Amino acid sequence: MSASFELTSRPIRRAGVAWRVVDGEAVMVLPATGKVHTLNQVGTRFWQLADGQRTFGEVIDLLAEEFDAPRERIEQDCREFARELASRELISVTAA
Amino acid sequence: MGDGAHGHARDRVLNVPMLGGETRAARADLVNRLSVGPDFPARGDLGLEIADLHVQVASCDAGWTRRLARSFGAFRGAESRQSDTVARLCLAAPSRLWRDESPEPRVVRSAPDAIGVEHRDMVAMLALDGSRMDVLQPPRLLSTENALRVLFGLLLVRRGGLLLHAAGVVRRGAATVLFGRSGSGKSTSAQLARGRPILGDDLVALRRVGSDWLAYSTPFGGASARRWRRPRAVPVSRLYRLRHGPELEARDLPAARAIAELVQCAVLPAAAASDQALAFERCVEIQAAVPVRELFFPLDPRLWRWLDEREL
Repeated sequence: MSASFELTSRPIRRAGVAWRVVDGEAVMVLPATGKVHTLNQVGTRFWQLADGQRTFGEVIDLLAEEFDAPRERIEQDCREFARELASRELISVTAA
Repeated sequence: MGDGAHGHARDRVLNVPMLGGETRAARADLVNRLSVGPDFPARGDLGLEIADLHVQVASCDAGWTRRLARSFGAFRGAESRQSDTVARLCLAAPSRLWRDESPEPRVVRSAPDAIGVEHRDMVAMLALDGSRMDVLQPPRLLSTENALRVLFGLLLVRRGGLLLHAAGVVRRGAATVLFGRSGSGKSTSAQLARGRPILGDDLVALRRVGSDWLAYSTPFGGASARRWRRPRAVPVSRLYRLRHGPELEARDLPAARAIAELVQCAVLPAAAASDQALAFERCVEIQAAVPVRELFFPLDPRLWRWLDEREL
């Protein structure tokens, strides 16, 4: 699936992914494949915010504020990160 | 389903043809038709107990039942014990059907109430509720072991436990469990634990009892794993992810990574997605209850003395 991360699109965690956040880091497994993944703190917050209720732009804004980092850098990191999660079938994107 | 068109003999017990078997498709088809009827002619049975789970193993061949009793004798359960599930074994002549090179069992078919499993040396139908497993296998102990490993892996996650690729050694009344993938040093670490009770060097069962996690020996890992009765159930005090390294070193493991490592070493062949999710939950629970660290091990014979001196 080729995901388009327009700022008005809404990232959403895939149903069926088993996950936990422990000590600020997420660990997850896709039961259908058995593959396990861990996320760093920024990735974990992105994952938690990807509930389908917020737009991609809103997620970036929140992360820039939480981590006190330039928005442009956060946006670049989020785009790369979102592409990686989508390639692993962990998130999908709903259109604006 | 007739046998005349293909000239194959028909197994007298199972409603499946005995295939000359050249392809995986043929094996998958065999799984589809594997069904042991209600009049399964059991020629003896025995109860096995692993991690306080009791399985009644019935065989259609009396000689095979006796052989299983001799081989798995250290894990015989009490005859009066109610079984958690029943495994029914039927033997098939060795043939090309059994030369699949797949290293791990595969789910080859799912039905509303059962899943089909194939491995290099057995095919099986496993009821989704875990109440029964019907197996077709050649007369090899490894085949029975592989079938039981599938079954117990599933039963354990559903009963608050997990089967783990691990060695287990008892120290000061508690189990130190060293887990890791094949080649990480599990067997060597167990061999070096001279004088200490050994739970196992390949597969260890963990199970939650109340708020504690207990480690159990298993009969999986060949004849040496079944040779004698191991310590029955020992509280787990330490979990180490074993890795090769230039020198002995123990490092803290972040919680998320510890869970990921446990998931990757969990033994749950051929499970439905819901059971994979359960296995994940067990790993989360284990990590929350028992310290998990990374242990770098250069196959050094001083391993256990080193751990004891540092109270690790």
